[in-house]
Amino acid sequence: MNDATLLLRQIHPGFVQNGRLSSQAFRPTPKDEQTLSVYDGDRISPADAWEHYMNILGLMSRGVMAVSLSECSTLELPVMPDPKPFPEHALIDFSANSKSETEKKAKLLKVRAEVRGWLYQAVMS
Amino acid sequence: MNTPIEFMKPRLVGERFMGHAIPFEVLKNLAVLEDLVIEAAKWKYLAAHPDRQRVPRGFTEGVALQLTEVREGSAIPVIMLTLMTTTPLMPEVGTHLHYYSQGREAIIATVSAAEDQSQGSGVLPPHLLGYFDQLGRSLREGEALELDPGSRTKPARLTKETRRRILLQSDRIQELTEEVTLRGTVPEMDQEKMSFEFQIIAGSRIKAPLEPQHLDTILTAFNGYRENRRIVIRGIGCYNRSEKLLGLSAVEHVSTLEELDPGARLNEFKALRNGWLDGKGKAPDHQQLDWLVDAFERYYPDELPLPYLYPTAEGGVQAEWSIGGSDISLEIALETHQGEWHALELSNESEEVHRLDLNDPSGWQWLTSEIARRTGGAA
Repeated sequence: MNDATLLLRQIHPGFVQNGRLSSQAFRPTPKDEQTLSVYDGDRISPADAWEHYMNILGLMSRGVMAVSLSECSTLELPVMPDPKPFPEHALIDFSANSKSETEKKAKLLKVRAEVRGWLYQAVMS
Repeated sequence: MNTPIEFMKPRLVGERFMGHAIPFEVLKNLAVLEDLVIEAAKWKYLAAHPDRQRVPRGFTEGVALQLTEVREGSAIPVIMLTLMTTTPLMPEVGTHLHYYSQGREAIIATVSAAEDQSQGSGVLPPHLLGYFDQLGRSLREGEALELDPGSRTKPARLTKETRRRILLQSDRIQELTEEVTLRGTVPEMDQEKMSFEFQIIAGSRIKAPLEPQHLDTILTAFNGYRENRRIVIRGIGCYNRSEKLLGLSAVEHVSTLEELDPGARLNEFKALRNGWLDGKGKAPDHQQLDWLVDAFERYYPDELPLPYLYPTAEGGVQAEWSIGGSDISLEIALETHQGEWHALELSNESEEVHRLDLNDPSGWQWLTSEIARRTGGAA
């Protein structure tokens, strides 16, 4: 991974209303131990990541958005590979942040991802 | 000669009846009291005259209940009974007043028994209990019609709950009706049979009558079904004895919903189950979602931009607004009705944090004032 690496985030359908994304899409839940799961974009394409998430892991995703590693670094959010669940897995670490700092950084990551737009979107039936 | 006699002074209790006012929708259902009083009086007469098959001629002649006054506290409608007290052709008519009074006492006894969850004595027979399907139908949670407010220990409180208990006492009653507000779409309509199918958000699909005055709105919703065009219906829902909604017997009001209607969106969350977020998300409580729908309707002005609403992993709701250069969120804990406001100014990354008690109208007032200020308007 380097500064330009895109960290691919699966977006849950519940976090999209009329095309608008919730900041929760980039905010870890307390149960995630303050880390946000992403795919390492250097190792897997957005389409393949979505396919893996939906069909191998059996989870729900509306599509894939991304932030870069340098955008995380600017916000003082460490990024680390975490190949235990699967080889392309990585984590964005929010654990050093308070609740309001986490909310602020999640909103800023969302804005960065929105500028980039959807990298892959599920075909809606 | 027609003589009015003060017959009943029930008391309506609840926020809607403050200022000794009674909404028309409540009066509409109160009107069935006249039919119930007449039928109860006929039953009492026949019980006292077992040799007779029917009441004498003139028994119901000129009999009417009239609302003559509404007194304070919350609201006390003064109901007069008018009946012919003398007539040269039927001199016995005046003596029938006694049975009307007995009928009234039986109605009060029936409600008291339902309130106590006891068998009671002097209560109405099962064939008259069907009148309670209309009487008190418009009462909401926390409201009551006290039929005997003079009695401190047993004011005979007709509420949603006591009304339901009364109706379930009769085996003849297989369907109960309730006033309902439902949001959903129209997948099917039949202009020949003047009916339509209504798909409730996160609920079942039911049949409803198509009234001519609602034809255009229903047709628009039907044509917009594939674009998920949603409407809100206020009407009379028919339920079976197990409280399952079977359909609508009447449609009173229909309106097209805005795209971001909070009620429609929050009802969608009722479809969420535990584990909805990658096996971790907690499903929001349905009653608490209804609380939030009511709170938005009550406190959030139409002229302000509607929030986008999302479920949270903790079983709550997050409201979000993008106003100017600000990204605003309000995380609402449904168990406690507490809100955490977070506003981020994207240009300089400055943030504001505020805690809100959404049980308190002042919490909502702060919220709406803040949204209004940021949109350059007044709440």
